[in-house]
Amino acid sequence: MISRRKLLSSGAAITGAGLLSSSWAGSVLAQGINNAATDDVELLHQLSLFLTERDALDPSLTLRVLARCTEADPLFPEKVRGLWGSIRQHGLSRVSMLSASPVYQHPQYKDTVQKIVRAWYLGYTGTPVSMRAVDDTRLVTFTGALAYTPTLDATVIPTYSRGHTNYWVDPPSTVAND
Amino acid sequence: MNPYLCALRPLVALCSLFASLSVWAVEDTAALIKQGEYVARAADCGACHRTVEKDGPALAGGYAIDSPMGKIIASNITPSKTHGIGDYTEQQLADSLRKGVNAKGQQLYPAMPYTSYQGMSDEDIHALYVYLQQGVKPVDAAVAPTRLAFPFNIRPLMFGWNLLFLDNQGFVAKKPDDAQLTRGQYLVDSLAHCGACHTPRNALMAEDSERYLSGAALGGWIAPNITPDKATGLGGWSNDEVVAFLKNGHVTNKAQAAGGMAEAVENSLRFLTDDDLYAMAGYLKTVPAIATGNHVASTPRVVTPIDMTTLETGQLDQATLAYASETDGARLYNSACASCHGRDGQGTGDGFYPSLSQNSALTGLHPNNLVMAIIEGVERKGADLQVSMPALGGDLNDQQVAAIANYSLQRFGNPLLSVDQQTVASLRRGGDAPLLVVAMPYVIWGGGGLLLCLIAWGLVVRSQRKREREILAKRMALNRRFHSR
Amino acid sequence: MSQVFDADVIVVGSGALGSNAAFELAKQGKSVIILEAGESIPRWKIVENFRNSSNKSNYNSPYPNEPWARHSYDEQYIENIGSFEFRPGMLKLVGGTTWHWAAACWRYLPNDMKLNTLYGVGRDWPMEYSELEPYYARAEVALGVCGSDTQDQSGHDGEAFPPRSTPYPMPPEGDTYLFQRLRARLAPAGYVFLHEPNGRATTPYDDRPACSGNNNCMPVCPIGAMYSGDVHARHAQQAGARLLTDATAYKLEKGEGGKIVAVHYRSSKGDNVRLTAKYFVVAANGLETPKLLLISEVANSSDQVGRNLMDHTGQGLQFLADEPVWPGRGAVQQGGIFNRRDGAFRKERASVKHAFANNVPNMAVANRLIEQGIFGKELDERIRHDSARWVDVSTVYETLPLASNTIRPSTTRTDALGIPMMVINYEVGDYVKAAKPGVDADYADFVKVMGGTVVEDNTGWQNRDHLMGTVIMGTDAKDSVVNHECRTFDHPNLFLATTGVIPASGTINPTLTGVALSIRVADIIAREV
Repeated sequence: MISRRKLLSSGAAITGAGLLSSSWAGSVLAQGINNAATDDVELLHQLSLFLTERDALDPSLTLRVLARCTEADPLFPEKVRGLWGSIRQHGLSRVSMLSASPVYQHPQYKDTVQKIVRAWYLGYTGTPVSMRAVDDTRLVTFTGALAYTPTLDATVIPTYSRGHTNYWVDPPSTVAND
Repeated sequence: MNPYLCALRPLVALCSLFASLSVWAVEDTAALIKQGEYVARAADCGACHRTVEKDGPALAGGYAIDSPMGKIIASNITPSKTHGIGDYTEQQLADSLRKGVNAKGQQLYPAMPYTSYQGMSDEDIHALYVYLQQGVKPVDAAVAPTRLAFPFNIRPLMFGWNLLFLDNQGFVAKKPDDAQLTRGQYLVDSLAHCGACHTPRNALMAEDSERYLSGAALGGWIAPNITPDKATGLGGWSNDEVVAFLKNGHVTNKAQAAGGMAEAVENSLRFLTDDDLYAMAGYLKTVPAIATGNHVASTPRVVTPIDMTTLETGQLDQATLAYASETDGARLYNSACASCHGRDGQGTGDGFYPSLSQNSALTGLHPNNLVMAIIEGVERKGADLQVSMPALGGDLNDQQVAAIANYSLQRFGNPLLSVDQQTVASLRRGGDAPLLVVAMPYVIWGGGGLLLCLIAWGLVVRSQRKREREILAKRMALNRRFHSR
Repeated sequence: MSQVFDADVIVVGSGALGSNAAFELAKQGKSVIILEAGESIPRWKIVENFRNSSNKSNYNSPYPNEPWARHSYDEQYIENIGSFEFRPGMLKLVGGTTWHWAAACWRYLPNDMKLNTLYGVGRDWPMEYSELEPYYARAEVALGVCGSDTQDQSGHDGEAFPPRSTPYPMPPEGDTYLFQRLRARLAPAGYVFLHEPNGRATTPYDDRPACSGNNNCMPVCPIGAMYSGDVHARHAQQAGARLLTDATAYKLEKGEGGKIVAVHYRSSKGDNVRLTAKYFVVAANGLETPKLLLISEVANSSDQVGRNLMDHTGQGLQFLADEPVWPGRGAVQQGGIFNRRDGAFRKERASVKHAFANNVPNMAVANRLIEQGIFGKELDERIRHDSARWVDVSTVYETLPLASNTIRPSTTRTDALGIPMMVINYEVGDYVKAAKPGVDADYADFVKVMGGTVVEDNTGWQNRDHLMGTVIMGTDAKDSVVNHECRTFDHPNLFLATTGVIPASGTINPTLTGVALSIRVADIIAREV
């Protein structure tokens, strides 16, 4: 079982010393998640699977989302529990039912949903501020950001290559059905 | 032979001379120039006889070829009467090519690969002569003189080396009945002088015929084994693949030409006809297979993609954004290499950026070419496309290059290989003169010349010592005689 | 003369303009020192910084913001006192801000340089296009520009224009599918599409690989296919120039005869160093250059230093087309619509350029959909659907030099070196505002023709980071800071290599012009020094 305190310190490890021993967070704590059914991490992981409608997500990223969000809002784990409880209470079996449900009308739950889904899809937590050196955004992942997944066969994750010079004169092969 | 015919021979010869002269009179100069240009391409004259500037006039020389003895300046071989070879007779050109002696009777340095060109046919030399005299624009510009330090500035020294290593029996076909094979042998041995790089040298730094085309190290790079050995040579290559490689400089999921080979493709091989390239490929299949090590199986490795979450950890403080001395191979690979070769090292689907797991630079027996490609990059114009991999040597120190190479070898390539910082430093020094490759015959000669000097000196010393010993022996004998008295 | 100088020429700033001037001078055998406030950072490191940035739309975020070398998004860097928040994304490191540009390499039109004569507004350039043309040609070779030799860049669909003495060094890249589709549908409606000449290699060039569409021109080209100033910082050093990093110039010292005798710089360690030279080139961008002149109290007899601040004030439109056009394949921009580049309308209102962004739009698309409460599989499907249809128009307006738009050294804020930060007063002028209805009409038309759904068509005025006017060029020492040579009227040995000299902004990105002027500066100095 992983306590929140332990998690927070591990979050620090991910962001700080994590540069040097970053694999530690992924392996040891991911293992921890499996043994922590009632824990915040497991809860967030289950909730994330529900919200993203996926069978699997990188557990080390779950940990990171939790660490980053809790860092910004110490009540985040409680809000996650509340949200998960409310989703169960209203018997939402699929995420497609969420935004029309009473759960989503609750500002705190809506905000929590937004935070979690953004973290997974956009790869960061916090709110970007343009033209400033400092804001409260924190990186979760770059290449793992789910927003890139739907177009991996057609475009690129920026900075990475797709093919030869001028490959772009042709549309993706799927264009007729896109 | 019929004595009657024998008597006629001079006459026949005379007639055929007249006949050929008259043919020459009407011979198609344009076609000859074209043929000569092709010979010049195949022999890669332009590789050395270029200008210092990249886009200077053709064959005007001036380019400095680095050698351990100093810089050898490529001569102007345009038909300039004042500064080129405009006054050369065809015989003088032939002597330069085959004997390494210029029109002034000076010994050439074997940066000029005359040990290979000695096999050139009269027809090719004639065509080349016509091309050089009539097909090239004369450039009346002097090149700097070659100034080598003693003893290398003594050109006649080459006379001795030539006695030892210049095989002047001309081209001898191994299988004269097989025209295609003979053509291939002629191209590989005489014109394209493949052995200059691919054949290892013996103790006196001449090409070691016992190890013909079995691969050699030069200027930091490895010119690989191109004998048909299955595991360590071209045994696994089809003729189509060899031809594609010579023409384009790459075969997807196999190998890319870099360093000196990229230049050979760009300046010479991509211009050759398919017939000639197939002849070369066919000939290479027939040379003795030489195994040069225990190669690991060439089946592509299963590459496990790295967990990017361990690398995408977020920025730290501002000072770290400028800190560029990290030495973690995974991190460096992903920052410096993965943009093109991919996080999984598989390059792009179209092969434009090559896979690193199916790539001779990483799966061979030496890490040299991987290290050199990282340091010097790859610049190559093949028949199909022009490619450029940026040289990262300026942005990465030796330790970082080693870290990237080792990460790549472990994850994508031959995991039995590794390279340390010192090796990278040494390869980098070897690569300081990126065109050393073209100077290789000379480098080798230099080594040989040095050896000869040493041997000569040794012989002198030895004979002196021998005389001293003899004198001593005589003295002792005399003494004994005196004492015995 | 027995006086010993530290160098023939000292260049302040190692960006594209300073480095090109330094390279040309060093190549001609002059001794050159380049001062750079920031540090030298290899490309791979910047790529790593980008991937680790949590705010990737902040193009300054991969670059260090050190207390002694602030980038422009630092909270303390600029204090705006006008109604418009003027805040261009400027960098301090070897190579300068061309580390993150989109490499547009336009030439001005002859008419752009005669704005006042032809249209009675703004100012004329103190030279004709033909005088600058040979330097444009050299700048294009230096930057490795690819472009079309046949298009009429005035936007009038005529013969090749403006006149060129040399072809572009490289052919243009192939048209993206996005560009093809927009042109196929909008051109029949009368819109003139032009390929944007740009500093991306389309074949290997000057040790740069050809662009393969990694779609990250801003904030860093990961493979170095796109030109950035570090190329010539390197070339300059190879030609013999000395580059000093962590060296922030804070004072130009006046001597006898109106000459500048020394530049003083300070390092993060607190060293103060005085360097002398025969000539000085300040190439510290369109804000830092006037700031240095003002705090040094030089070159300002006209009172025009730091005035006439111009940007190509911008505006944007995003919409979803009714067909997949697939942005995100290729470089981040390729060209646009140029009908409003030049014409008699410039008597009343600004000329205008519409460009189409080609960035991978997934983040903007996903952000919007999540906000709409779309989740799960539907979100994934919609991301693909909308990303394929995302059209992002970036418009720039020509601006006029207004003496009231100013950049001044701050009297209250300094950086860690004790050097003043900046105060900017910027108002969007009436000339620009007069052109907005036309732009709005274009926008409505684009959306209509493309069967579009508007995402955002009222962005408000935006920065475009094209700094001009602040050390304005002219014929009269009374109203201008430099003459046609970029030589300050007040100091015969002080030249300014910055787009800040540009007196008439046109609508095109000014970097190529800045490099052309810098090469010319080097030629002039080389003749005299």
